[in-house]
Amino acid sequence: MATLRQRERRAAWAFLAPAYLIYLLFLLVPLLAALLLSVLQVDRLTLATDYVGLANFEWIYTDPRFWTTFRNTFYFISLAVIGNVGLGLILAVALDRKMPQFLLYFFRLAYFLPVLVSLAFVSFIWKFLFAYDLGVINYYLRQLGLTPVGWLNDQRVAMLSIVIIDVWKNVGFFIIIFLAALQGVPRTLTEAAQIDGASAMVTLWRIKLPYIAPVILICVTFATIGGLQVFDSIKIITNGGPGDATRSVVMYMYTEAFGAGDLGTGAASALTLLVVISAVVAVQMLVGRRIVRR
Amino acid sequence: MKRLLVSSIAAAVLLAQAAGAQPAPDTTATLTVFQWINPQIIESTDRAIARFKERFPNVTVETQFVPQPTWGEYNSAMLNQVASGGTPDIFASAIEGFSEIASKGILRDLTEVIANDPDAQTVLGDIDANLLEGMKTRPSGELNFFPTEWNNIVVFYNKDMFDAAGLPYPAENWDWEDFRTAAAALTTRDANGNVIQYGYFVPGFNFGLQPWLMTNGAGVLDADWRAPTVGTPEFAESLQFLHDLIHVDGSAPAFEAGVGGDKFVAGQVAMFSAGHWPIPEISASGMTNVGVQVMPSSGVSTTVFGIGGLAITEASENPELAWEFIKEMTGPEYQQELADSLRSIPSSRSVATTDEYLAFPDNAQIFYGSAATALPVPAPPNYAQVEEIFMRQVGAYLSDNQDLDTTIAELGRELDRSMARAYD
Repeated sequence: MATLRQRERRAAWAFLAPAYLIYLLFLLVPLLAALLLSVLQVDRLTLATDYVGLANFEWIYTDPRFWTTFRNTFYFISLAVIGNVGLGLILAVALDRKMPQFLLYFFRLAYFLPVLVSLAFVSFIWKFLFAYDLGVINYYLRQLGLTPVGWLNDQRVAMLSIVIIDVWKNVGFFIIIFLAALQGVPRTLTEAAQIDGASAMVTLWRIKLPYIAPVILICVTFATIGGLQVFDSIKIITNGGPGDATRSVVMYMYTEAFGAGDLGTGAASALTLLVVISAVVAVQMLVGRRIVRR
Repeated sequence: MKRLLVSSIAAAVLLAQAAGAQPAPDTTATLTVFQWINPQIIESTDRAIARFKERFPNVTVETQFVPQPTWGEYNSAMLNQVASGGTPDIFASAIEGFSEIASKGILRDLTEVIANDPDAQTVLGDIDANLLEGMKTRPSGELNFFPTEWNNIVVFYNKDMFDAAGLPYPAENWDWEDFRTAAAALTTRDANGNVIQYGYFVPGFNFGLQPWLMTNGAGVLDADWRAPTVGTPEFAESLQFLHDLIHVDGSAPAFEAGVGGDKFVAGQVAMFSAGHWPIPEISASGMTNVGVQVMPSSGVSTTVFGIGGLAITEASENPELAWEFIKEMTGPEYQQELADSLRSIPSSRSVATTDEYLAFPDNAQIFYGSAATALPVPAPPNYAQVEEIFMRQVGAYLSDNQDLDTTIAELGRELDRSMARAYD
């Protein structure tokens, strides 16, 4: 006869099991498979394997394109995080005020709608807007007597175009998060500040932003991880071009694994990316927490 | 290994015998067919299945239509499916996939089956010998695919725009300089200097760029498709010529991926390069005054060709039935439906040279007319990578983001690396 404690323990495991099984199936197993694949050469049809040691890592590390894709990815992150978190915060602050209910809902919907729209679908519209010769934006630039911009053709500008699309698509998500956080700031604090004569800007700077700092940190981390994994928008809009100007490290990984059919080098790139993501997030959390504590 | 060899030989013998002894009409089986997708293929496959069902009422044919954004991605989709255990009985591909798929050892050699089948002999007798040679898988020399259709690259031109510019229509023996002069003359600007009509659309796809190399005696790979040949002066000259059309003459729009047929139909370009496939869209747009001419030459009169066909996989449990279905998909009815759709050139010469098929555009006889002299698109076993490297590097140069020397040096470095891995 099992004791009450034993029965409770069994019940706890039974409740936890589905979550752990999903974790095992979709996270741990692929991770272990990637670890294994990174030291093997695999024939993806026969699944015959050869142990090759660190040869897969050597192959990608001696490819200058691999490092170019890392540089591109970090360039994208730096712009996308500023765009998504910075603009998201500014717009959330702008929306965090008394206004007619219908207007508030209208703005929220307007900013959040792009989050719900399929990127594959709107990418074609963006391509049309950004087209060099016959695009809408360049048409108006020419009408104004300005030089047309190679939004997707010029390697100095192409990544910026990708960032514009990314921010348009995702900023609504960050606005909602920040808006929720701002509305969670206790009214007693803001009212006390106002009674003490603090201006709206001082209240924002000294009360609201410090109060929601942990949320900002989470959003920065979230945007950074998303940026490190950027793939679909680039694949559809520029396919990594011109040249390698917008190619991300995930695109490189995909091309190695499914274009060249080399699962080993694909896995080696994925693991390298995992290590980099972990390091970046660890540094962010460490630095961020210190700032938040202040 | 020994068992695999024995079973492969046994399967080949069975398949060869199949030509002589057709499967019984009451055979019960399921055939799976993996094809790329377009409206003509779907409709013609449905009709072929209906004809096949009359002969083999108990056989179910399951079709799988897969998007083909690039041939590399299509081939990859097929290999991924095989890897996951879903090998079809019949696989459709174009020359771009022949070596890549066949090099994995998953396709049957049809040479002997064809030799023993009078129907197949009749079909092959109506196909240009040069195209047939291109069907053979390299380097094995096996005939893994039975031909359905092919395409080449010619120059489409808007005759109204030539008339408006006071230019004679392109001659069969025109050269690069004639072409360049025509493209410049066909480029028109508004009062503010903004271009309103370009002379030519530089092809933004691998197949379309190949003739600009071939007509100058250049190529991405050597004749065996084993080593890069991008370091020749002719190769550099070809790229420079296309670059200058865009950035020096201003007679072509900024380089972008695509064929340019939509811009031609919209009246934004006077010429573009393509095969037979844009003709339905051009016809549907109401454009009637359109002509085609062979690619202009810079010493070599040729163009590129690609040919498609159907193969039987080694894993097929019903190779005899699969062969019968392939014959249904490549026979006279199918060829006529292909011709009616205008989407590509039927492999059968007699179907591709009828008055009806040649009615539009003007000079359409050059489509099948180039069959004897066209060169196959280089398609080694690592085709997907070669295509990706070539388009990425050339795209960077043609969009003026990279100089010519760097482009050629990087092409050489990347192709060397890729070819070494492919033939390792």
